[in-house]
Amino acid sequence: MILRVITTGTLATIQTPPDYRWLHNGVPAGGPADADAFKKANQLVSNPPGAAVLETAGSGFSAIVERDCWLGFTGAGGHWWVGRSEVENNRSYLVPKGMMIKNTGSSQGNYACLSVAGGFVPERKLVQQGERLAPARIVTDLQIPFKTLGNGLVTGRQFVLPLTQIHEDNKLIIRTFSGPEAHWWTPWQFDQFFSMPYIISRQSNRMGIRLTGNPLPYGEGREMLTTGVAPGTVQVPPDGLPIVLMADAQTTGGYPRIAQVTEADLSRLAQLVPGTVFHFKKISGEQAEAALLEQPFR
Amino acid sequence: MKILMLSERSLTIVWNDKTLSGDPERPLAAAQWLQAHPCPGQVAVVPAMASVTVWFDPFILHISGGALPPSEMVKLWLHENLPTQPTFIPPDVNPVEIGVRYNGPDLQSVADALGLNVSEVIRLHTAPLYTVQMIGFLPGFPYLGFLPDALVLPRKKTPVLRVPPGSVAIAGKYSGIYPQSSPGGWHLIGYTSYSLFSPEKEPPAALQPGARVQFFAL
Repeated sequence: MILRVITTGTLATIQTPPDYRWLHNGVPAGGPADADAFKKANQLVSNPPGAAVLETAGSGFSAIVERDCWLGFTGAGGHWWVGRSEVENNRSYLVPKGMMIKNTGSSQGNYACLSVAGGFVPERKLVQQGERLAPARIVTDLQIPFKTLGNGLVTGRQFVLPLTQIHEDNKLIIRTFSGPEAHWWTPWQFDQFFSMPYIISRQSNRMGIRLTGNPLPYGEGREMLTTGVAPGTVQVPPDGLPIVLMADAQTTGGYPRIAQVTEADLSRLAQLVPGTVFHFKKISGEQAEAALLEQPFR
Repeated sequence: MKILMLSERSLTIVWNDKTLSGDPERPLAAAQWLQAHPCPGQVAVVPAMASVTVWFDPFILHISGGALPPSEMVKLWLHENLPTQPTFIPPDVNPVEIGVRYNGPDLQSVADALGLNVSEVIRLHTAPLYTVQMIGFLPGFPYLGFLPDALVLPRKKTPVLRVPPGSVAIAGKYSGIYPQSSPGGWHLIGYTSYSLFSPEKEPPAALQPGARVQFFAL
């Protein structure tokens, strides 16, 4: 065993990359809310890409480390402590057996990733209070160049650069391209979608992000047949307030799709805390694809 | 047919009303064909009411060194290879027989709305040999096509907060069964104990797209 969970906090899950095998059975592909933090958490502890990582939402996760191990901490929603020492995000630490780790949460983000050298057992699941989490592999020969800090903690010399939000003209932007039902709105409304601010509401989670702001009503009586949807799909229900689907969203949906958030910005969007104001910025599908492919292979 | 970009990893193939009224199982047939003849980089095919979404891995296509962006490669491949009128091949097994206790909370209101009595609703619901046209909304939720015209009703205006698992329901041209409890807007006409979804199995849904189903009254 490697971790004994004392408190789960708001939500704690073990995540692996999206799994598309059962999409046609109605099972969402899932995966980490912040795919960028997930990838970097594994890099910090020299795990193969795709090793299972513990993802926390909100705050309050705590656990006892049952064996000396290298842990990686990423994600804007993390404010981690090892024993009584605050640790830095985007670094790895060699945590001794018996220490308690906890995430007191951050106003800078919703989700945090905790990786362990060797990875967790790759069973995607909800983590329960009192549970003992196992490593997928015991790693005893990890060669991470390290330094010892003043407080006695050992940290890896390597760190990763966190993803930062994109601002243009002092506005926080999320790059988005036109959706299959964009023509259901008038050109003026469509422009509004890209020029008016939207606000992340508290009714947001791994399934979807509800927004408040400028409603976008569309013609009554237009029948929308159920069709496939994806994480990042911006659906508009009858009240006109957009919902952005996220990793655990339904695989099919019956609301018109005005736009699609570029995958390259989904990690950024996932980390916007309730109350954050942002703008959708229009890009083309080609630009979205190029942005995705520019990222290191994963 | 039109092919639209849904995301950087998915394209949606859509057919128009005119095409589908003549061939309502077109999305299912196309999905079945693609499962048997996958496009380069294909990772999933999801049929829906009037469309099929094809999921692919853009990194595999990108590495293969093509000159086009991955979504364009897949689009081109689909235009060149997907048959315009794919034939659906029914499974080579007997239809699944599902016993239903016809005492759902909406059975009477459905009968009233359709100008029928309850036993006529039951008779009409048990008559067709259904085919699972798609799965969606919930893991394992089958959209069974197609109801006789006499049973077609729009969804409820106000969904209920909790539909019990095993509820047998109708809406539009489809009958469905709720595998888990969930909010729902379909008309609840009965209950079944048939198990629709087992997460530990592969595949996890008991009724796959293309499976054939017969209801009978318990």
